Order: sequence, then C-alpha cells, then structure tokens
Amino acid sequence: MASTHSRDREFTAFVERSAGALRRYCLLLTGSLPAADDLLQDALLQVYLALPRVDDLDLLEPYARRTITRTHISRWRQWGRREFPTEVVREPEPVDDTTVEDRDEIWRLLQALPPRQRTAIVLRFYEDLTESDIAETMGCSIGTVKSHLSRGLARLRSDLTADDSHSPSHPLPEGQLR
Amino acid sequence: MNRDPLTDLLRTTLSTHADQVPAPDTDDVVDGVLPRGHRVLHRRRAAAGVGVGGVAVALATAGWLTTRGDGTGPTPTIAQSPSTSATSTPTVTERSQAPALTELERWELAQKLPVGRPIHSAWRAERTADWRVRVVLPYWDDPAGSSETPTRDAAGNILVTLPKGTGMVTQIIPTAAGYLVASQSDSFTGGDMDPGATLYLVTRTKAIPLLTGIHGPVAVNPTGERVAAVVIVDERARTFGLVERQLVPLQTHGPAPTPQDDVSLLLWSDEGQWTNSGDNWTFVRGPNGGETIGRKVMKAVQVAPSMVYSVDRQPDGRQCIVVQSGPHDATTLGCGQYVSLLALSNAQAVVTVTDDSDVVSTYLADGYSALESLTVPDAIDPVSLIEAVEEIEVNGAGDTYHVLVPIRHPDDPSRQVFVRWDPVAGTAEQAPLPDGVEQIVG
Repeated sequence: MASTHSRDREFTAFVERSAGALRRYCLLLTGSLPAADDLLQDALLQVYLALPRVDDLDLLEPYARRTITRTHISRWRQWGRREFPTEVVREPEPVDDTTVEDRDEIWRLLQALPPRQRTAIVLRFYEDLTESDIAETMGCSIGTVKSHLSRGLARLRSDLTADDSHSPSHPLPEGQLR
Repeated sequence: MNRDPLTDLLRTTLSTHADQVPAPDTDDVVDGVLPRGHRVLHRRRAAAGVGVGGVAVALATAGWLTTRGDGTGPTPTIAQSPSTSATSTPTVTERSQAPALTELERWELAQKLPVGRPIHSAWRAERTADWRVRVVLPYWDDPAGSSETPTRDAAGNILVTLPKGTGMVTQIIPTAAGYLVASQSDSFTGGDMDPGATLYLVTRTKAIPLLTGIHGPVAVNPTGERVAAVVIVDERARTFGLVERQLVPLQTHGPAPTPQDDVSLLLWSDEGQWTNSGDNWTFVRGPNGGETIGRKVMKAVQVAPSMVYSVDRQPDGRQCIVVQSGPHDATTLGCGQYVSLLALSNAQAVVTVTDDSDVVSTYLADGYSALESLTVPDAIDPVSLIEAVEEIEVNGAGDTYHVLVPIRHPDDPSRQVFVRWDPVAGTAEQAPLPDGVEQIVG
C-alpha cells in the first residue's frame, strides 16, 4: 500500500505537471471555467484515490482524461441539461482565415450539443484521438463514437447553415460528413 | 483529400478557447483535493472495519430465512460465545514480509493460480451483460401461501434485478423480512456523499426502496426486524440524520431525522444502536430508539461485541486492535495507522494493520485472544496477492471460510480476476465469474 505521504507527493507532482492541460480539456467539455474547475477537482480526487493502482505514472494523465470524460457524462446524466454560461475571454489575434464571429458561433453551438456528442468532438478535433482511443476514453464502442461524431457534426453543420444571421464567413458544404 | 471547413473551424475554435485557459494554481488544486481524498481513504478504511459488524450480524441472522418456510417465523439467535479461553495471554507473531508486487505482477500471478469453482457465494450482486445490477440470493423456500414466483437461475438461486441507475452494491444483509441491499447510484463518481445511494428491501420477487441518500453502513437490530441507517439530510450543509424503518411488518416511511453535523452508525446490538460522532465519541441509544443510555466513551467500536475484537482510535489518530481478555479487561494486540478486520467465523477474523511506515501486515486472529501469523505457502504467496490490494477490498462475496478478493488489471479496472483465499490453509485459487456475468459489483 502506498504511503499517504508519498501518495500526496506523487499527486502534487502530477498536478504541477498536468493540471494545465486537464483544465483546458475540462473547459472544452463544460464551456465555462467554474464548471471546468469543479469537474477538474472531482476527477483529480479519483486520480488521487487511484494512484496506488497506477504503476506507470505516464498512464496517469490518460487515466485522468478518461475520468474527466466519464465524470462529465455522468454528471450530465445525473443533473440533466443545464445552462452553460459562455466565458468572456480575450480573443487572440487571428491565426488563420476563420473569423472571431465564426469561432464564437461554433463555440456557442458546441455548448448546445448533447454532452456525448460534444465530448466525442473535443476528443477528435482537440485531442486528435483516433476513434478507437475515443471509444476507450468514453467507455463505449467505436460504432457509438462514429455515431456521436457523425450526429454532432451534422447538427453543427445544420445549425450553422440554418441560421443565416450567424452563418460563418465560409459556407459549409451540406452533408459532407454524414 | 478534401479539407472540411467545419472540422477546420472546430480545431481552430477549440484550440483558441483552450489557449485562453491559464494553468490552475497548483496549491489551490492540491488543497482542494487532498482533504477530500484523505476523508475518502479514511472512510473506506473505517468501512472495512465496520463491515465486520455486518458480517457478524449476517452470521447471527442467517438462519431466519431458511426457517420461514415452515411458518415458524424468525428465530433470533445471538452470536456464539467465544470457544477459546478469554483469559489466555494474547500473542502476536508477525509473519515475514513477502516481496512487494507491482499491480501487473499481481494481476499476472492471479491468473496463474489454479482455477476453482465459479463464484456462488451465499449472496452477491452482479452486473449483467445489459449493464443492469442484480442480486443473487440463495435458495429460499416460498412462504406458505405465497403466490409470487421468483426468477431463479439454474442453480436455484433467486435473481432480483435492481432499478436502472444502480451502480454497485455496498452491503447485503439478511433480515427477517428479506435481504437489505445498500446500493450506490450509477452516477456516483466519487467523493464521500452519494445522494442517490438507496437501501432496498429485496424480497423473493422485487426490490422495495426503503431509504435514499444513505450514508455509510446500515445496521439491523438483533431480531432482524428493524433497520437503521444514516442518511444525507442536506448535501450542501453536510448534515446527516439517523433513521429507522420497521421491516416486520414493513413500514417504508417514517419521521424525518434530526439533522446532525456528523454521525456514523457502527452496529445495532442488544444494547441498542452504536453511533459514532465526528469526534470519535461513541454513543449507544436504547433499543427503542430513545435517549442515550449513558455510554459515552472515547472508543470507536467497529465490530459486533460478539466478536470481541474492537478497534480503538487513539488521541494521536492511530488505531489499535483490542480483544477482551477477561470479564472487565481488554488487551491491545497491536496498533497502526489503519486497521481493518474481516470476520470469517465467530472465532476467526482476518486483520490487517498498517503501521506508521505504511507497512501492511496481515494476520489471522484466531479465537478471542491470540493473533497469529498467516501461513505462507511455498509456490505462490497469496498473502502478498491480497495484502497489496488497496484497503484489502474484501466484500461479502466470500463465505465463512474464504475471502474473495478482486484483483484488477492496472490499466483497465473493469477487468477483474477474483482470488478465493483461504487464510487458514494459506491457499488461493481463481474464482471464475458465473456464465453471463460481466462483473461482480458488490
């Protein structure tokens, strides 16, 4: 059994190393910093309790990501859909040819997606995970991941093209990823 | 390959928002998590000890259910008296420490053990392939005149599926009215409070919810006709309350509990309900639930008095295993940072002691006065398999001679191998899951 003191030290080192990346991931799942911090705290508690079972500390961050993902989905299932306040954050200088309005719009639409679809999209397009790795992280089958991605993208595409007032500056082809 | 503007936009948007998130202050995060983690660890370790009370009560009450079929009703029995002299001198022999195993080595060793009979303990909870939790109860004669036909498996065990949303089972206790099943909710992801934790009375055909928001172990009175539990009164304010329900005849509702800052239920003996407050004072309430009858001792008894073993918390936070060595005498066998006990029978218990250096020793407590070392077999040391498992995750899935210990794969906790461990003989074997069962969850 790991010593409580050594467990605390390992945990602190892990937080120093990984909390920044995990907090970013939590924000993308929840849409707001307060909710992200709540989620991060709860997930890190699970990481702390699991520390003695993890021999390879390199596996800790993937474990934390899995825990965050499943905690987020479970929370939503427990509490139901809630309002997700959008953070007012300083926009950086544009780094590509998309506009701030485009990104604001897609960000708003992302928050409206069901949590499983949003999670799958974040894992695919932010974490760059394969569908197999997403399935592992979310605890579901690859087929389910494909379904979440497909439906999530289709809904985003539909919402974007349906709302002319918020349409992006680059019209999106219908059904490309269906 | 065509680039999809939507996915490009998604990548940019997600990265842009993520880049705006500053790294959290490490001290803030650690300060927020560690106290909660310590509380959970402490509660788990305490629960391992309190669970012995449940086992002891189970041993004392197991006869009821098999005597109901002839219409004679429950026959309350009290756990047997010690079979060994209560005045003999306690002896403690520490066995030699086995080399520490990594999680993976333990997993691999467990899989090399001989395969024994499938798990078919007296009662258990399983997760089925369709992700439902069901309890498996031993053969149970139909009460006279009952028209209810239970669902049974091929072995004749009764199967009762719990409602959707059940995550795992934490306690199964036989009573005069059926089995009490304490469960956690599927949405519970950690922390020390689960508002969805539900206590069911499981009869031969259905699960009747008795209490929700139960917190910690539940206790049944010596006749098996009443149950007490601590429930969450206000989650935000962290207040709790002690409630009772009558099982025979069944009453599913009762008065609201009085909110208290912290209370845990230890056991329900002939003397009344033993509760432990947050400052480790133990109170005994009268059998009728009335006022405290005067016992207010600096002592946290975590096992049934019939087992005689007890766990005392010292002012410095350490715990000591105490046995009764005479009518009015108690003797300390050993102390450590944490101790836990598992009753195998009325005369034997498995004891683990974590010393100040976090070295774990596992003993077999034999009789009421001696604590002896465990036998270590030559080939594979099952003790080292067992003791390295965090908080010796024993549950009620064994029997009175064996302990079932889940060994989990380090990378995938959902993969489990059960080791059936006989601490007396020092042998271990694999206990396969029954056909059609994905996991044992309680």
